[in-house]
Amino acid sequence: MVSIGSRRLLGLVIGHKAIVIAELSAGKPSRVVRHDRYEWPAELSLDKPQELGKALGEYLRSQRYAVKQVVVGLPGRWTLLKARTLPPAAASAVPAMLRLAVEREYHSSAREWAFDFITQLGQEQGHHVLLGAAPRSRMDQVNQMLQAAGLSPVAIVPTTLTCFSQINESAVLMASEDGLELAVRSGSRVVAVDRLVASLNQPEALGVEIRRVLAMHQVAESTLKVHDGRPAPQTEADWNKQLGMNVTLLPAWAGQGNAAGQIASAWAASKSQVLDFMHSRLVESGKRKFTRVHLLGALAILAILLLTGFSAVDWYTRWSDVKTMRAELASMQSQLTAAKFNVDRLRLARGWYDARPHLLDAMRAITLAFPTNGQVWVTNLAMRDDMTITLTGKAQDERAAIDLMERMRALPAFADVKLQSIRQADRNSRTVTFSITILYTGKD
Amino acid sequence: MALSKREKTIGLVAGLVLGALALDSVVIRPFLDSMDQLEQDQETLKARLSDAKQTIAASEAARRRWGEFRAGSLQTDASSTENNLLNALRSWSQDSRLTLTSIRPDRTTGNHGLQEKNFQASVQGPMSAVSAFLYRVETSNLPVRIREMQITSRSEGTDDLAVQIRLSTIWEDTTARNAAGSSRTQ
Repeated sequence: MVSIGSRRLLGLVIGHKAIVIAELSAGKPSRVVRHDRYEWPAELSLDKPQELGKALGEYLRSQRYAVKQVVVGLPGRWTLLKARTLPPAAASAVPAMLRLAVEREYHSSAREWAFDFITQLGQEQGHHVLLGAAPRSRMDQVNQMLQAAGLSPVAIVPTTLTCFSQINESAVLMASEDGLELAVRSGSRVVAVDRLVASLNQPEALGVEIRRVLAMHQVAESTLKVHDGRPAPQTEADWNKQLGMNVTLLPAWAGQGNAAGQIASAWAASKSQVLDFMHSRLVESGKRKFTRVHLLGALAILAILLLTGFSAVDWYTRWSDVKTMRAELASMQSQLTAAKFNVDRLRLARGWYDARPHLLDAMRAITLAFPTNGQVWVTNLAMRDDMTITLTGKAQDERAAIDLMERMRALPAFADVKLQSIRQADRNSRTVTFSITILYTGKD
Repeated sequence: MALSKREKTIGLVAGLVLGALALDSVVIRPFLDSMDQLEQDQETLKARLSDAKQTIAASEAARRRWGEFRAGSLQTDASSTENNLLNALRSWSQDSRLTLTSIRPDRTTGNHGLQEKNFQASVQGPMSAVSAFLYRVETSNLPVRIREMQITSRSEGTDDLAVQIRLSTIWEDTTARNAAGSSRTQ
């Protein structure tokens, strides 16, 4: 159940063609700060909860009601109330006993009703409870209407019973726009809230019906009080005349503004003494505890646990793998040192056997690169085993030396072909001496 | 002091955010860093292990080939190696019709269990003889290689060449071999 603490609260009582509204102040005890009455258009009804809800929401906004949490009062014609006495048993066993009783009495239709009960004090042994029921179809309509209005219900209560619980009288005739209801108390226990069949237009029949109910519950006629909660209440004299008996007219709503203010105040003052069809005390506690939030929480925890478990397994697998490889490498270390020695030694020694520098091949490639017309000739050839070659020679003219260099550059067998020097051999001829460095690649 | 629902919600959200930050800095981030480090270690060790296995496998082939060198011309002492090379040089120059004008021993160096001895040789002759000489050097069974070579024309326009060659030969350093053998058995 939602705890509203000291926050503001709205009371709504659903009537035949209007909704009575009251706003409660924050603080304890709360008090009604304003009340109102919304009469919906003729084309709307509770059978169209979405449309009615939108209209109600617009009305509340137009009246600057900012409170979203509401206590809803259902009309007497929608609710069933029955006082019961259960055999002596532990208090924790009462809900189970009532569940059994409900299943026995209502059979398959029990699912169509929302039940709740409150425990009442009594002088006899056993548990005195007041069992209430409201049709789920109506509850759904109310919820849809509230959702469309942008309101959030905190309790759905029976209006007449909740109002009567605030009046300390034995028998009260409750008159409202929806009709007449007679609430009777025996000692401190509410024993009946009966909807009267006869109307104010049938005074004789009404009087007979009232006397019958009072007699049935052994309540004296003289204790009957009248609470007229209609928009245009009658006077006490009118009531005496109409009912044919001396009745006392109670002040309307005892300073709570209207029925909505009274049910909201009653609920805010003592939730345990108000029937609430939204938070039934008959529902098994185990089922109530596991909500959608719990399900989502459980799924989130499961996901976190799975993720954590997977990560831990992944980490351990990697750690174990690293540890194994380190151990394997350590065990191979001496073998690896010897192996490296052997491999390096062989690699070095091959330079004196099958991996000797191929100087002869380099000389052949140089010879083939030279022109056969005798314009260029070599005077000195220096070769190193890293295949760098310095070629010194003469040419008939500078063009012939450059051509040789260009030809060498074009061949894949040579790389990094650079002209080191070129100069005229003597003053009397065009003959030049030149020097070129080459890297022999071995490619054809 | 009673807290309102909004205050409780704000407190709860603030607590969750602070808790998430604390969890991130104390648990999640160090854990992810550790995972990254492990992943890097895994990759590095895999590569090192693979290299080590390849080296060990290559070592077997190297040992076999080394056995062939030993069975052939690779000596374990300097004098035999030098004698073999000097005799071979004389023989190759004679066979190539080159004139061997001088042979001079040069420095000795050591590396990876091998000792290397250099020689400076001077020969004279025509181009065809030089080629034949080089062919013999490059196809010899002896451990020999040419480090440097310089061919100069003795007189321009004639096939008369002077060749300066720096050759080298090797032999096995048994001291290093024994050291390697002992490290392998450790």
